[in-house]
Amino acid sequence: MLSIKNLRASIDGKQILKGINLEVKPGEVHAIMGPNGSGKSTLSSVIAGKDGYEVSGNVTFNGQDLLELAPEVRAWEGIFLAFQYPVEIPGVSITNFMRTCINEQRKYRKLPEMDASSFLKLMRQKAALVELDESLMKRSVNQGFSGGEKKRNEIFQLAMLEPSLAILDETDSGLDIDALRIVAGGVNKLRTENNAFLVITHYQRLLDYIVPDFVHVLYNGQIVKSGTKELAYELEEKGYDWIKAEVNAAV
Amino acid sequence: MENVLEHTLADRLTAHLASLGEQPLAAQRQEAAAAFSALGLPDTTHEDWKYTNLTDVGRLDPLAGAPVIDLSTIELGPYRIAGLDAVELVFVNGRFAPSLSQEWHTGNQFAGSLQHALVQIPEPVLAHLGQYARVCEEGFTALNTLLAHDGFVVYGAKNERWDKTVVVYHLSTGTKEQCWTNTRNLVVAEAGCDVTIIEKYISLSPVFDNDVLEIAVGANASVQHYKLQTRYGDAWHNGTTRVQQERDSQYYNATISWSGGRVRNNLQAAHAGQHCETNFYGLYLLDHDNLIDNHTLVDHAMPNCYSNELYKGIVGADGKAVFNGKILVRPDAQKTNAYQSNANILLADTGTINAKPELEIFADDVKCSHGATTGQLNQDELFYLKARGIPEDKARTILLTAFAGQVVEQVRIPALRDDLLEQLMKELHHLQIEF
Ligand SMILES: Nc1ncnc2c1ncn2[C@@H]1O[C@H](COP(=O)(O)OP(=O)(O)OP(=O)(O)O)[C@@H](O)[C@H]1O
Ligand SMILES: [Mg+2]
Repeated sequence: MLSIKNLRASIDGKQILKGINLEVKPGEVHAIMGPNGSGKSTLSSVIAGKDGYEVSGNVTFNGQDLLELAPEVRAWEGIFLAFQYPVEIPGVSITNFMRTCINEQRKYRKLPEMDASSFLKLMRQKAALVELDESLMKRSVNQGFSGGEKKRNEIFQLAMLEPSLAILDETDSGLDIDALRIVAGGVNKLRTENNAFLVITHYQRLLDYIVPDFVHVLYNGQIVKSGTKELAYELEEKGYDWIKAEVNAAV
Repeated sequence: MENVLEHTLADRLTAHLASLGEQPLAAQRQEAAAAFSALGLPDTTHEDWKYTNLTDVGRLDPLAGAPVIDLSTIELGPYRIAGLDAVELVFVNGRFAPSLSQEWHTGNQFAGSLQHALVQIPEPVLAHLGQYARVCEEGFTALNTLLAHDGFVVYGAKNERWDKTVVVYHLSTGTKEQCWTNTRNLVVAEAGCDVTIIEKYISLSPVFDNDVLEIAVGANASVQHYKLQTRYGDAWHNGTTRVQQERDSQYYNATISWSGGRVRNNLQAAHAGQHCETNFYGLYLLDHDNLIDNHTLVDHAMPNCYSNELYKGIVGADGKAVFNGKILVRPDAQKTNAYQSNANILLADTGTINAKPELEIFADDVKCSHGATTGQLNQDELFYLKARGIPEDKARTILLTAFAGQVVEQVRIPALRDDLLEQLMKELHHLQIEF
């Protein structure tokens, strides 16, 4: 589904991603862990199509050259990024925002616009999935939301758009244990054989709920170690120093 | 500005005055003539006119006026606001158009032309006209006082509450030689009176409108006032609105300007009693060598008054916006609450915005704040929308609509608000194409 080969990215002359290789197949969950500043969010931004980066290497998504596509086309093709820091958009209500997103996606897929009542039904159903308060629907996107509400809103949008590849960038940070369970439960309900998740996190805790098939360690712009969920326990216990030491010894 | 041209103009103005003969405003016009010969028209060396060059206006002949138009050629339909219960007054090139208007005169309410008001309700008109827009303060006001033939008057006696909204259409259409119009307007809301006025400026061909509106808001009275310059393609405009508020009164203004040619709005409210409330809202959208200049002043002269001001602008390629918002808090105006905010989005490098908030505070126990920002469209917001599958141009329009919408939301008449929102989308789309 997603195939990343030797992906490099720099911004303002600063090299951040230094040759990433990653294969994600339908139905898989990949966790990405790594110290602050290692390039995790940069990797998500580059996959989602944020501009401003100088990018080289190869990224294909369902056989298409992803780097050639505009961000909105990537979204229509089924890529979704749950932002680490969801942006507040004053004056744009969640309802109108989601209606536009859904209908743009449908237009791309040559489907007719969704009628108002089916849309509202869908909104209600998906909001229930992440127990997002319906009163938030009338408010501006993320404006004045608490940290936890913003993260739930990201998963709500994920549920609305049903992407085939979802990247969750630290969706668990800032969530209390109940909210974490709700959000993870929502994600699990959305899992199918046909979609895949890239879960970026600092905490093994999340991976008890969303059990990954693979765990990767991103350090200094490269994936320096990959393993199964046991690797996450090891990192939780020992921190990153031993990995840094291994990498530095290898150099 | 002592030059030969104005000497001759002054002579011609004197002759013009003499030709008017005996009339109710003779004394005021005489005073205006004297003021104009002393003041002339302001140029860019004048601090208040630094960014707005009116040299071209100076070449126009104010006495040539604008042509008299065959009213049967004018169709109001396209300019009407759907779903509004209104008294409509139409002025074409500063002249009242009775066949297109419904003048309104009950015992205690009047909405009609100045000429008729001078006959039908002379007392309130003569008590207020010329009291707030003083001829000695500016050449344009002096010229307006001297030359204005007519304008609209809205009068509400004590405790009158208007059910209908007064909608005033200022249509103008001129020629190269004949394009100068002067409209003189007056609103008097006596104590406890409540009235809403919508002014719509519509230009059909190049004109220069030099308008003055005085608004007297009596004790505990409330005036809601909209100035819409949304079909104002080739026009030049200098409009002065002077508001005088008595104690416990409220004045609300929303000035919405787009597709403008060259527009200068001077809006000033002064408090003559305690516990007044003043709200100023403004929105301007422009590109294409157009200029919109909003100069506002809230004159806090009395204690315990409140003012709030929000102006927003979007400037595209080659557009030029000026915002100068002054809050004056005089020594007696203790316990003043005065807030002002001006935010601008610049869509292209070739646009310019001159934003100047001015606070002059001479009282010590006050709460005042102001903020002015100018920036591009927020790139993080834009990416968020695109990453959810909204194409670039649509995402831009959504963000700009939201930005401008915060002013339109302040419009208190639902029918007008809907009408403006719909037009706003089209205007933004137009600005986007230009971008
Ligand atoms: N626009 C930018 N200009 C310069 N440096 C940047 C820019 N964006 C990110 N960086 C740098 O790139 C590095 C990687 O940042 P990134 O946000 O990808 O890290 P991260 O792994 O997501 O960290 P965290 O765990 O704290 O979220 C950091 O050193 C960061 O300062
Ligand atoms: Mg990050």
